[in-house]
Amino acid sequence: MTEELKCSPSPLTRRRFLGAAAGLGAMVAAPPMITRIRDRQEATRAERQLGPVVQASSRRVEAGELVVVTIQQGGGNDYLNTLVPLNSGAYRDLRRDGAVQEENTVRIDNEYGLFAMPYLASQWDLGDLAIVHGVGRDGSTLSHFDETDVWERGDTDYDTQTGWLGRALHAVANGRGDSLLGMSLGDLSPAMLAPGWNPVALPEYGNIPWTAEDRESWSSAAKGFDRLVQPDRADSPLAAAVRNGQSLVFELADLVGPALENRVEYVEEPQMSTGGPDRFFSGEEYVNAGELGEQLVIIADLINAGVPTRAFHVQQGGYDTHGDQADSHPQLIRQLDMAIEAFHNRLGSNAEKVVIATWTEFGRTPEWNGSGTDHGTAGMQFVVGRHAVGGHHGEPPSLTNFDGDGNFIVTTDFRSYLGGVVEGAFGVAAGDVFDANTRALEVVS
Amino acid sequence: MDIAPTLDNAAHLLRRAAWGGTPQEIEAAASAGIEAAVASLLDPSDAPDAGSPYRSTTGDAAFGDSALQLWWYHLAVNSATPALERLAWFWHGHFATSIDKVEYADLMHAQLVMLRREGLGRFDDLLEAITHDTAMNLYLDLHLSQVGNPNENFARELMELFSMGAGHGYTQTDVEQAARALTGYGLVLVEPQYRYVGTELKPEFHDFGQKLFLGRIGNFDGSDIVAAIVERPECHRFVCGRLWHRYAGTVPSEAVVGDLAAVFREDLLISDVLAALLTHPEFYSDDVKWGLVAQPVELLVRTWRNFGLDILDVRDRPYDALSAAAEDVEGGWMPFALEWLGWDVGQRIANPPNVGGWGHNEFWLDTNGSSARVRVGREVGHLIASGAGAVSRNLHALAGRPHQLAEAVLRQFGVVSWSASTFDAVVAAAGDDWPDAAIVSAVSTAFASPEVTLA
Repeated sequence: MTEELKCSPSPLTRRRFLGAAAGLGAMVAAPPMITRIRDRQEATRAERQLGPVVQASSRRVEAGELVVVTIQQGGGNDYLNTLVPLNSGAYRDLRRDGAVQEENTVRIDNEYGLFAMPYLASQWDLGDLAIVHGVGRDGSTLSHFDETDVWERGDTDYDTQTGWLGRALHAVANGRGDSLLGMSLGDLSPAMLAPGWNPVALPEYGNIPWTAEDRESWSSAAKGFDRLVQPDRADSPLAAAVRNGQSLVFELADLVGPALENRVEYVEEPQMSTGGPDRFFSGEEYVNAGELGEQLVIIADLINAGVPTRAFHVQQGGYDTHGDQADSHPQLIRQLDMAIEAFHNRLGSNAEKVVIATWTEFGRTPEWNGSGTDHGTAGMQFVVGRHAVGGHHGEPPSLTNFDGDGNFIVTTDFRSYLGGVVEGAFGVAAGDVFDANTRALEVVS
Repeated sequence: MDIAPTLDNAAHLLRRAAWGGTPQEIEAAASAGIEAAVASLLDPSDAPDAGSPYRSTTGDAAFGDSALQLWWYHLAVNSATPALERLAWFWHGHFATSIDKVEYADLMHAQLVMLRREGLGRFDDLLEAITHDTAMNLYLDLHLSQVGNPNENFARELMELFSMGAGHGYTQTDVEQAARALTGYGLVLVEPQYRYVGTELKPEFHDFGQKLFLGRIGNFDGSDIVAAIVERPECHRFVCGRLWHRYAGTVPSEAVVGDLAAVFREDLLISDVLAALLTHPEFYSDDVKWGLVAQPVELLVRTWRNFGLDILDVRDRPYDALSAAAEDVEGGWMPFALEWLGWDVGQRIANPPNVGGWGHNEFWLDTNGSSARVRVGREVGHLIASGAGAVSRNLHALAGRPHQLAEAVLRQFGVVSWSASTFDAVVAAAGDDWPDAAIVSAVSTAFASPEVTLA
């Protein structure tokens, strides 16, 4: 044992180093498990807005309850080259050599062809795909950061400190904060889940103690953490948030560790790769479901294991296609399509209770810039699942009559869309989460 | 008004202006006085040459991302002018550019060296340099922007993120007109090595028509756009606000922004405005002292500096050769640790998540950031316990005396006062009977404490 700890084995690769680290924990006597203290903490400013945070409930998702998975298409997805208007001279004039060829789309009705998304097209045929048109807001600044903020808050008021999904889950939990009701995967902080306490993001594989052995090892090496997470009278709000975050890590490990420790590791299943050049785009590279697919498969495993989480959030970046759009954009939406197919396959019969809702901070300019498209206004969103209300929702924006900057005129307020998700999936009134006058679009039933 | 030369103020200054001080450096800064310490920190005369990761003499074999990481950390940790390195890091986040899209580590290196060279100088020079920077040109698609088909990507971020701020003093029309002025800036490619070595204005792709930008009419090019922007009061206020945001952490009051902007607009000198910021009474308020979460990279540099840990020097030999050689040496992996810890903490040099740069404060306190601090703290604890670093021996000598060991660890992180909760925790951790385990636990617990996590 001592030999190992001197890190003397040579060559000591990183894997072996970590192994040695884990060995230490196993040797040291384990202290009691971390004491849960968050329900005794002084309320932070945001908690005062929303009521106290309590620890995760031990409940499961009940029969008849739906789980929402939001997929953010970061960067601003191009509306016109995803849902291609058929037989449209206006479309071809706008897009010139950037126009998608109709024969490369899957025709879903007389008006539109869905590009590079054969799985979603199959869901359309089943009545399980809602396509929401012209989604955005008046007064967009065309900034990624402003508009992403607005979507995450579900509010155009920059002083709003909470996210729309956090507020919706707060209502689901009957006014008690339950941190683990919402969870994000990936690197980006899930501000839209933020009800004012530390948002929960599932760390990279290996960054959290998944196995019972790891959890014991962490607790041992993290001796003192039970004291460290005790609030101190002198703590500033940020200092309190540091302690709270450390406490939540162990709580999260207790939730997801048992759910995932025996999971069959991600394998590249047939539907997760095109396996070669694809008919939707030229070039030699094949497309796979990528990190998004891996994350959705982890979410499927968590849902199948019965964790009480009601909303998950993942992000797929890369949609800011100012240049080289003809290469990158088809691959992005093909990847999204494959990731959703892999997710459904992994969920099996549990897919029935899952509602997938996409959002993107804005659409792109109607007009092609020579190699891509710039920041625009209205975009389109998808809702997928047995509880999606299949069909077209909202009014498609005009392809000839634009706003003063040459962008689409928004036809569906983003809050109507998100409000429809919240009402349909959680039974929470849209006006309780968004602006009181919000009229929910019936996209989920 | 002079700032009180307390240890607390000196430690705060060094944590923000530089990477954090050792106990000795904090004492020295307090003795010198805050104003003198600021002047000394911002004096670039001892700045070392930035250097470069190893390049072969034929110039064709560029280095990769791993070498770039280690080159950066080596400079940041060992530099005699840490405040200069810290400022270059600020500009890297401000002009965020990602190797994910740029793909060439040598272009990212050139940009980082430029940000360091121009970082303390005039803002108009810096903005001009980033406009013509090769990595930035690739990152924001300037090379694709041609007369008749202007690409708005760079033009928009130039104003929104780099100089004026969204919704402040410009319109969508200004973005479109600036995009026209910025057409035709292409890349210079050297064959047969097939390397980009710069950008240039290619007249056949440039729009020579009249543009209306920020209320003026003229046949503007990229330099004219920069010159027009830096005259605007919105630009002065925005840049001062961004410096305050990253150095102080809080939302600045109107009065603070006004104070700093008044200094900045005189000569557009960044050194002047940073000195004004670091000597502003508001900067030493409790809200500011407890108002900033250290970014993970900053925490790693502070830890490596203060505990005297090794970093591989990649300037003389190629990374691959060093990596192969380390395989045969006991503990040879240790100087590589910063290369892969960057993945673990979720922050890599030259790899920001998007053009907006890295997150702020609460961003790092979600369960992702919190678990990384637990895990990386353990790895750092193991490094130190195993004998790495100049301080390891001193800590081993304190084994068996938990209170002294806890105090020594916290002080070595540059902490001069602490909460009862944190001290209790580190003492408990330091109480392990077995010396190595006591050090691992004390270091990892301190590493995750608010006192260390908050810059």
